[in-house]
Amino acid sequence: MRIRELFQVFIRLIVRPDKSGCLSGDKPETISGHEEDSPRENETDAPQRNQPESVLENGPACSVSTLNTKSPFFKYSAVLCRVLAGGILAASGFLKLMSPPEELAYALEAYDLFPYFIVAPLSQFLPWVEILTGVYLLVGYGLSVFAFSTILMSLGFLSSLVLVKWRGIDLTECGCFGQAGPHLEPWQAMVLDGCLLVMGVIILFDRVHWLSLDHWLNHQETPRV
Amino acid sequence: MIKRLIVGIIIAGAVISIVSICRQTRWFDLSHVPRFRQKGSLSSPVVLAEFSDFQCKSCAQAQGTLKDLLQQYKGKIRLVFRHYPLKTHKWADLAAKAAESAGVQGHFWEYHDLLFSLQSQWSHADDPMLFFVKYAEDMHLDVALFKDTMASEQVQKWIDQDRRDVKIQNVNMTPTFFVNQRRISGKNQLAAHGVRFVALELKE
Repeated sequence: MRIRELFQVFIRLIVRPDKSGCLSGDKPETISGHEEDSPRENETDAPQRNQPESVLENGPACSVSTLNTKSPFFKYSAVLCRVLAGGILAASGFLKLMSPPEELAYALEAYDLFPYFIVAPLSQFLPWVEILTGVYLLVGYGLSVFAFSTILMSLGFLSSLVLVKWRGIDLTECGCFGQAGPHLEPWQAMVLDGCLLVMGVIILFDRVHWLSLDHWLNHQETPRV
Repeated sequence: MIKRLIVGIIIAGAVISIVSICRQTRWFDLSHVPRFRQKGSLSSPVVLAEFSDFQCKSCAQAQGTLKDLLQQYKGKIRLVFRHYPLKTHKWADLAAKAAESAGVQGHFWEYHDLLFSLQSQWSHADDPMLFFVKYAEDMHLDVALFKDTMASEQVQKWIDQDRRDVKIQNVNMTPTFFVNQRRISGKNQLAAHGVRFVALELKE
């Protein structure tokens, strides 16, 4: 319950609440952010017609799916988050790939979370996931998927660090940027992963996809009337 | 949809190509490594290069496993010690020079063992030189020559050459071992894969 309240406070900070204090916008969100001139507007009306009567009478509920992601603050912060999160992930993946995978495996071994037969393939696979997620976020491709991937990764990293701390393992550095990159203390890595998590959530809720490849592709795919 | 997929594949392809180009590494050669830093026959089928730092705890801990491996494959492995004194270790460079000086007098491996076994003693000292000289005296080395060699350009050159190879080979941590061209990072990997890698190399 407390987490939900905190989450709502966070959401209120980044979106414009309406007069009733609800987080919904004047009208339901659409996918590509160019609903005024596209037939998608009709598509988004369809779910509304299927809603139960109580919802139609009382207006839309205060839920995440009805966020006003067209708020200018949200629009700019989503782009900033995309650039930052994408840049961090791409750099982290690139630096890890520039170091031999055995060195990443050595860093992962220090966490003492997985046996070596898992650590070895993970050290080969993880940097590629990071760099591709980072680059896709930077160019704004498949934003929903890669924002979700960012959230999953940062949750994974955070929980690993918390587990290591809880078990009292003395981790001198996190291995976040490979052995060749900047060396972070575990607490610094936790802060970084926390920021990545928040940025991932913001990107996930962004439906405008301003300055992104997704936005351009949506325009290309939308039939001209 | 297909257009979207093609764009995604093009981006992934570009990323993979760039990384692959940047990743290419060259292999070092061992011709310039002084013979006193090599243990075993030159004709041994397996060369085990160890990049190590005398002030690194993991390097000291790996010595037991390394000795067991050498014992198990006696006569089949040539061990080559490469210096990688880390900048974060205050006395690592000096210790490397001391080991080279002992090596010039034909006692590299004895001095090497001593530096690792008494690591806690000298690594926390304000002036480790006192310990280095004392170890040289205990081993009946010529102390004057030992000190002169430590300050010589040749020793510095040998260590610098190893540092260059560290960059060429993209070694970023100690201890790192190479069983011919198979990389092993850290003591745990040496314990887990050392024997298997040597066996594989002998088979090939």
